[in-house]
Amino acid sequence: MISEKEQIRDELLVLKCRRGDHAAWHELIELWRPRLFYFVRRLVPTEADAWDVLQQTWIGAYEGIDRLQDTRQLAPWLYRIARNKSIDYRRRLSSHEPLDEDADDSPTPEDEQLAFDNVESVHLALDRLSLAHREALTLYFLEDLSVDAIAQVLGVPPGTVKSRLHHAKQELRIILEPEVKP
Amino acid sequence: MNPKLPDNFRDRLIAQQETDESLRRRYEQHLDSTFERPMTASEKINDALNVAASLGFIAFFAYAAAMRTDFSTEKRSISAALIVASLLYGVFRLRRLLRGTINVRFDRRAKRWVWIGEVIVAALLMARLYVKEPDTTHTIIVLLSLILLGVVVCAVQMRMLFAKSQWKSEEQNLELRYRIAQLSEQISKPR
Repeated sequence: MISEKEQIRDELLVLKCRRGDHAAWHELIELWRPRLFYFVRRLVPTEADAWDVLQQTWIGAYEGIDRLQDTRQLAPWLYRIARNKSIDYRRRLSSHEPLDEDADDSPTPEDEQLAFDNVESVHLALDRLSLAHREALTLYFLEDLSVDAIAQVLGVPPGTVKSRLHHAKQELRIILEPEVKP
Repeated sequence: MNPKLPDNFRDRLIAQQETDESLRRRYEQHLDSTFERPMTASEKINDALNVAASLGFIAFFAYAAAMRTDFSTEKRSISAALIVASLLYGVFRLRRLLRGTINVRFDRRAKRWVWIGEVIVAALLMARLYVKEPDTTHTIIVLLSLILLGVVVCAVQMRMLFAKSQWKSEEQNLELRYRIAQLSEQISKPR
């Protein structure tokens, strides 16, 4: 979860953006660029696509900021826009792998402790996961969202998110295992 | 922070993402035009129809103002005002159509002004109707329409004012909370 200070700063920026403060818009865009870009980059094929989708995301955010009732919901709201824009983009590219693919959502035991110390390996391994698992795990790694908020972004029940996260971590562990073993 | 993840995991993960400097620079350079998007086909058709309608209105009111010898000065003034309103509206749509893109930032504000302009035009048309035939039925229609218009405009304005004042006090409250959070973070930092 993000810190209280970050949460308040985001809420403040939303209010300023609503009243048309351009400096606040630039600050918001700059603050959220790395996280949103990282997320979008996991969903679209190339970097150029990701920058395009990010631009579309900001247009969507700009058009809809007045409709964001609860300013505390900025993070799920932004990720949701980014995800929808990515879906649209992929559709235009006629991608055959939909984001809402039927992932294995069977019930799972509680999440176990995971030690993802090698960030570089995790980063590379993320791209080898299925899309549904990749997007759920990326949102989890970006630490801005609770399971409920991730569910909101993905438009699925929280139980499904837990299940996807569990399976995604298992998949990730299998990918990383040969590297972990001495 | 998520207790299951190592410290600064997010930042370290994001730092792994390599970016092409030229693509990134292009994005940053065009940040101001981020809110500029290409128009869809239906938006172009809509704008073209609006431009045609504006031209039609301009021609109609210009003819009425210039050619009708029986028109009083008041009627000519109203026609002139309607020509100006139609012209502004037409220019706004035509410029956008020629540009081929919608500037979200600019067009949103412009749209508000166009809406106000449309309300004024509607009011002028009703006034013109009243001037033309000031009988009881028209008087009632005009009065009721004006009252309705007034109520709608007042409601919209009140809502905007209320929302603005609410945002303002919310903003002040958040500023204060942000400063407190900053201070408590400084205090809790290990020396």
